[in-house]
Amino acid sequence: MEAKKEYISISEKVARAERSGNLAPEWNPDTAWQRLEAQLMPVEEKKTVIAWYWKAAAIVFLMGLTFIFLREVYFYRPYEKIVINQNENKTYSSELAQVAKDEENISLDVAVVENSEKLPREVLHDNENLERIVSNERLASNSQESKTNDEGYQKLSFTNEIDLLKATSFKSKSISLNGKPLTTIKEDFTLEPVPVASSIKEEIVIDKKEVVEKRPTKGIKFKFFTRSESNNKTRNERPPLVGFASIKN
Amino acid sequence: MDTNSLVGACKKQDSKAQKELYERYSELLFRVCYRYVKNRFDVEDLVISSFMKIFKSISQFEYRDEKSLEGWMKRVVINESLMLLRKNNSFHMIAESGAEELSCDLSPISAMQEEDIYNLISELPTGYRTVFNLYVVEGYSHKEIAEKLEISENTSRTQLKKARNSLAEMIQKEGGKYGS
Repeated sequence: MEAKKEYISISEKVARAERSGNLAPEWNPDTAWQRLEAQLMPVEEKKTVIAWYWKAAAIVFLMGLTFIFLREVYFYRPYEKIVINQNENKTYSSELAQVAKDEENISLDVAVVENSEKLPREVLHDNENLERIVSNERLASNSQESKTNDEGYQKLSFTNEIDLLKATSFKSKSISLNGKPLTTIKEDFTLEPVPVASSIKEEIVIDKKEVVEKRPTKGIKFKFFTRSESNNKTRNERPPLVGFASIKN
Repeated sequence: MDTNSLVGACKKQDSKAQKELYERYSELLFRVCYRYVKNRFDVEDLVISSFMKIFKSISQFEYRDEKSLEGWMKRVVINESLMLLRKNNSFHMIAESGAEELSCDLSPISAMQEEDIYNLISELPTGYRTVFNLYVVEGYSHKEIAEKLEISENTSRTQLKKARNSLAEMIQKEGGKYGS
């Protein structure tokens, strides 16, 4: 018990001595702080770098999201995808059908823009509907006129909407009804191959929103099999062709 | 800035708060460390490494009062000191069987001036000093000391006894130096 008291007394005195600041050796806090600060700095810098990395990653991520949003929602959402039943030829754009019904001839300046190699041949081959997709021969048989202009666009004319719908697999420079220009492709428009995920059923895309609200354009997305006259490959060897035309009213 | 706010700011890695905490407690920690490690330069290194640990782990520290903060920081610096001592193989402690009950009188030490006690303890050999500091000044049990120093409890008791005897001898020899 006595020892315990002595210990407490010693402990308290040592603690007081340590606080008094009268002990040797002298403590120089400044030099030690400089060393400590030098060691602390890299930690801060590292955190700053990591913070910037995360900020940059977040910005890239948000930009990606924005791009996807704009691409999917702003550009694509207004376009209502209409599935064409190739066997019945019934479900297609009413607007387009109406236009087509009112007129006898629809002519298109068309050009094959891109070979969509990404669309697997098996898909095309297995899809019975493809059998009904307009081939080059069919196009030729239905067109009243077929020639290639200076820009490499092939001019084709069709007598009714069914033919137009069946032939919807090319880029159209313009669509004319009875000689009057109906369709104009925006100059900055670029065709893209249809991704594999897109089925061949996505034959026509109508910019319904634009039509209803502003009616400045309506879009038609084309995709079909064709074979150029200079390329006599068999049908299975022919790549599908994809196109998009915006129709200016 | 009160201590609680200071700790809060340090948790946010505020460099100004870190410096203030350092300025408030560095000398105290230096003295505590110097009781264990006699080399001044080693002590400075230990204080720096202790503060590095303190700043790193302060986010996990729960502030209750100033004493709790001081105690926590002291524990950090003591552990750092013990690590260095172990690393330098500074302990040459041989367990002696049958550590006897402490018999020498500590009252002359407890009656001494504060600075004298501090200096007297600092003159003890490393092994004695370490156990004496841990047991008497810091209040650890022999079991805790044994765990910290990786020695047996019996060795701890023996070292303490020897430390006490040494202190008594030192007072006898140099009584004038440590005027009570």
